[in-house]
Amino acid sequence: MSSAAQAVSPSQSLNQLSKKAQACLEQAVEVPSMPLYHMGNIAVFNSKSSFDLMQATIDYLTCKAKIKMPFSDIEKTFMIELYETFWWGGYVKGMPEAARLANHYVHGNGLTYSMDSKPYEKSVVVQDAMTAMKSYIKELASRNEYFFILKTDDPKFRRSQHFRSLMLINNSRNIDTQGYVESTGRMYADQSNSRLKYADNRFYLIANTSKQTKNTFHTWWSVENRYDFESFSKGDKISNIPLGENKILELPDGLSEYMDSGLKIAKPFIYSVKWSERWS
Amino acid sequence: MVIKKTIILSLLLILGACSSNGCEDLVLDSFKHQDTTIISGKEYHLYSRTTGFQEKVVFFELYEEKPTFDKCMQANLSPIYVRPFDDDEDHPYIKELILEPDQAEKLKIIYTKNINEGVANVYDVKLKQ
Repeated sequence: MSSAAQAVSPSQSLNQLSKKAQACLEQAVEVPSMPLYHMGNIAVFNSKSSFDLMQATIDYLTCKAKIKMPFSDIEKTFMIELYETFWWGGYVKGMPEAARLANHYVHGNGLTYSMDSKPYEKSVVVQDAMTAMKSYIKELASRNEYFFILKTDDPKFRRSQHFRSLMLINNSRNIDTQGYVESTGRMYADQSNSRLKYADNRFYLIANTSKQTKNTFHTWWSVENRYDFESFSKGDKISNIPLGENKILELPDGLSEYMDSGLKIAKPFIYSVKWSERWS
Repeated sequence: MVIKKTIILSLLLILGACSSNGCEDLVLDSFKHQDTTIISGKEYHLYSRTTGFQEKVVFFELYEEKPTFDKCMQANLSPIYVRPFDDDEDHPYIKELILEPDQAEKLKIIYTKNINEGVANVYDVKLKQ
C-alpha cells in the first residue's frame, strides 16, 4: 500500500473524531453535583448506587478527556470536588501530606508548596541515605575536598562504597520495608511508609552541609519535586481508590493531567521539604 | 455550601471510625498479570505492581506460583524476585525483559529511548528467555 493511500485526510480525521465524540456522548451520565456526598455515602453506607454513579461519571469524563473535548462547568466542578474528597480522605486515613498536595493541585495556582518533613525523616531509605551521605561527607572533609552540597545523584558519591548498600542488587533490599536508591541516585520510598509513598514515591535527597567545629557538622536536608500526572499518551496508569466493601473507584492519571492541560482547573507545582541535623 | 461540607466531613469522620472497606491505604497498589512461562518444567509468573498516587512506580515481580490478592491488594505469596521499572527521559521504554531463573539477577531489563524498538506500554511487556 502506498504512503498516500495510508495517509488520513483531514476530513477522515475529523470524521473519526466526530465518531469518538458521539461514542462518548452516548455514555453520558447526569454528573452529580455533590461528589463529596456520594464518596461519603459509599465509604460509610457502602452505597452501590453512589458508587455506580461516581464510576460512570469518571468513565464518561475520561472518554471526553481522551479526545480533548471541553467540559461543562458542572463537570469541571465535579473534578475539583473529587480532588477535595482526597483532602478529606487523606486526613481521615492519616496521610495529611498526600491530602494537602492533592488539594494544592486544584487550589494552589501552581505556587510552590512547603511540605512537612516527618514522612521523609521516618523513612528507612532516607535514614540509610543520610547515614551513607554523612560518611561520604566526613570522608571528603577529612581530605579537604568540597563537601558543602551533595545530592544523591552525585557521580562520585554513586561510585563510592557508601552508596552500594542503598542500591537494589538482586533483592539486597526489601522494597516494602527498606526502599532503595537506583543507580542514577533517584530514591524510591519504602512502600510500607504510606505517608511518604502517596506524597512522594521517588525523589532525590540533597545535603547542604557546613562544618561547625573540628568534628561536628550541620546539614540542611532537602527534597524538591514536581507534582503532576502522566498524560494519556504516556500510558494508562490508574489510581484504585478503595471506598466501600469491594468498591474500588478507578481514576485514570490521564484525567487528572487533563485537569491542567485541557481544563485549566488544576496546576502542577513544585513541592519542597527541608529539615536540619547537627551531627559528628 | 458550608452545610454540605459539614455533612460530608461528618460522614468521613465516621468513616475514620468504621471504614467499610477495611483497607488502610488511600490508593491500592494495582497488580497486573503480564506473562507466564515454563522453564525446565517450572512455571514463572510475571506481575507488574504499580504503586503511589501522582508519582507512580512500577515494579516487576516474579512468582513461582500464581498469587492471589485480597480486597486490599495484598498478595498471599512473596515474589522470588523484584525488579523496578527505572524509567526516565533517557530510557523511557523497555526493549527486553529477560528471565534467567538460574542467575542471581533473575530479571534483566534492557531499556531503549527508541519507541520503535521498545514496548510503548509497560503493561504490555512480556518475558524473554
